[in-house]
Amino acid sequence: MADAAIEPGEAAGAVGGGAGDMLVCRGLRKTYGERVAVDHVGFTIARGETYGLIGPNGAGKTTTISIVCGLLTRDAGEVTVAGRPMGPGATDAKAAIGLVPQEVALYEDLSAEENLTFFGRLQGLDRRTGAARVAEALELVGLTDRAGDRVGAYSGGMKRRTNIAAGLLHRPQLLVLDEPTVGVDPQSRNAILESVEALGAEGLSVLYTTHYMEEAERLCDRIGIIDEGRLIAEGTRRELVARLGAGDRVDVSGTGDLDAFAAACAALPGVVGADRRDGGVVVRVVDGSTALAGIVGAAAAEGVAIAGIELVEPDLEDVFLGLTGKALRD
Amino acid sequence: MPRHVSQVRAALLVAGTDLRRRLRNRSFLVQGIVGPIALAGIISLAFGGSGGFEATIGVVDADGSPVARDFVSGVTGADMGDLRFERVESADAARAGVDDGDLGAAVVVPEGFAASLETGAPDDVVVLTSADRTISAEVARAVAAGLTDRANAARLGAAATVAAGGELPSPDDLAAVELPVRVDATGTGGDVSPAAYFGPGMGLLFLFLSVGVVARDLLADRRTRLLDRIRAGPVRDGAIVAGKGLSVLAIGTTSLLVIWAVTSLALGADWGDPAGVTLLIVASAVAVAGIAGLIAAVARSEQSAETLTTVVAFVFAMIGGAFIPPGSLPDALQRLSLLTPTGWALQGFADLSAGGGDVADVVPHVAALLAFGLVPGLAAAWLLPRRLGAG
Repeated sequence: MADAAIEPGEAAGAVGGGAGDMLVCRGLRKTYGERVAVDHVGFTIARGETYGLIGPNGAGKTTTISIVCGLLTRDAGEVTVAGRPMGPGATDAKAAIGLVPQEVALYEDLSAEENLTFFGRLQGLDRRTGAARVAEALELVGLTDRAGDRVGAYSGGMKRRTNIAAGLLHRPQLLVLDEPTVGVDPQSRNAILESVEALGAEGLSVLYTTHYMEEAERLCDRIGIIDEGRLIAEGTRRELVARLGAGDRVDVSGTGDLDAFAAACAALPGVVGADRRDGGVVVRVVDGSTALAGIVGAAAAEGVAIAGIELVEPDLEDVFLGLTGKALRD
Repeated sequence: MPRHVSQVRAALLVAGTDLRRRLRNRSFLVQGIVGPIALAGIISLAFGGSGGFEATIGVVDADGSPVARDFVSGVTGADMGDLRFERVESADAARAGVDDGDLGAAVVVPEGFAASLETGAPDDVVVLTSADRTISAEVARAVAAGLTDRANAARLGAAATVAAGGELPSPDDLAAVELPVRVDATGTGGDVSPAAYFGPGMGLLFLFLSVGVVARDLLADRRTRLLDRIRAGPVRDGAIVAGKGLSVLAIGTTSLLVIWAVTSLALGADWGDPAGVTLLIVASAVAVAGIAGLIAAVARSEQSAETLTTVVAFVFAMIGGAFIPPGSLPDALQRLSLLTPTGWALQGFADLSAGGGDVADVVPHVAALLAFGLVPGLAAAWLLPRRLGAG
């Protein structure tokens, strides 16, 4: 587990507070009484970059983006968006941001068109430009035919799509998405991910928070891992996996004394770490092909009957496990 | 380049959207307009329609003496508006009339009443009442008490005369005596029709309840992060609070204006000088908006906002006189009514309606209502942004 929070530029590959940065956060800290929600968090997002902030529920992701968007006062640290300092009253900096909250933040008793018109006009769009952007956004999320229906009558997926459209109306320079796929059916989830991919490809800077590692792996150029309010690692997926020192992961399922088996695996040469998981053991190794024989031997020595064994490439889940000693979705 | 967004425009956008949502909400229309009008109408009918209290009291002269005759002709000949006295032939007919509901109550001067005044045990004047016509019963008792008080005064005078060595006067002589002291029941402020009193009373009660929904919605918007989405735009917290306040003000003013129009046209209520009424309505809406804002600022949850709103609405309505006019309450409660915006508003409306007052007469009421709105409103404007930004 990392000893200290990292600052922009400290992590390998981090982009450090340059003129090309859309978002710069330094030393963010927020406390609620005795509880430290965010502790010296710092990262940057370059123009056109999609940055993932991943961590389990309650890690401090939402508090961090609330500070980034000027919704919360901070106890310490600084935030600049497109070169403008951010705070609750910083209307110039806020104009550069499009926020898509985790919840469906729309008026259910108004239609999608009315909701989008309201949020567009709040962003300073005049009536004509607003109408054009609303039509464009509805087209983008495939809701033109249902534009006049009350949002309350929409399916969960349609609401989510409208929720995203509301954050894009004013063509922000930085799109902030807070766990946009929580509670979404697979089809809508895929549509949302495709939209974010497309926006990133168009050069929009994106801050994307999630606790789904596969989403971060698919969408993000760089990833920051946050846990208990601290940014414990940052980099590209490849860089983060490399931090593990493990080239492969061996998933063993079986029955018997799995704790003893995990301990025996951890002592094998070429093994970076071994942890118990439901019905098996996960072994992180430098090279899977050379470690397999030793792992099978350890199982036999500990009396574990192997039901299955699989050699896989480590993912961010393993990175998180390696860094914190706990599973991301615990 | 960032777009410049006028904070006034932002506040108007928030207010406009809020109003659109309220007007679409049927429960709001029921609570804000239909409810108070219906309740004011029902209470007005309970108090005898827009013309005030109406009743017919039967009077029976079973005695036939000059005392009884004068009493009956006195009350039946008096012009008391919608309170009528009707001569009835017998006590049995009066009882039947009361039982059938034709009479609100009846006063019976029994046979031998005048003669009994000369004895040691004079007869009682009988009052026939019905359990469900309490006001008529009270009127009949008061009228009967007038006769017995007069008889008792005469007996007292006669006893004094005899004690001084004089001659006992006859009952007819006693009946002819003019008593020097009378009660002048003429009011100084005129009458307020029930619809003109209970219309604003119920309007204010329901207004508190309906704008409480706005306070609750603000907290719900915070929970669902809709407020975050608005605050993430180039909009200052002050503009959002001002927009919500404007919306409540518009809702309150519209609601009371509609109640005024409907009670005037449908129930014949006369609220008095239109300029004074308009001023009082706007000031009342300011008071309600300020208090609702403070509730939104201090409530911890939607549930607590709703509970607080309901408690405040009913306490103000009870103490302020929305259900029972303060004049009917003990002195302490009458004084307490002026600790509520409802009390000030209703007193102002009553002064306009009954006393024929104008704008100048309601200036103190308007000032008090504005203070009731501005003090909590300013506190809310200070507290709300801090609560929103503190997370």
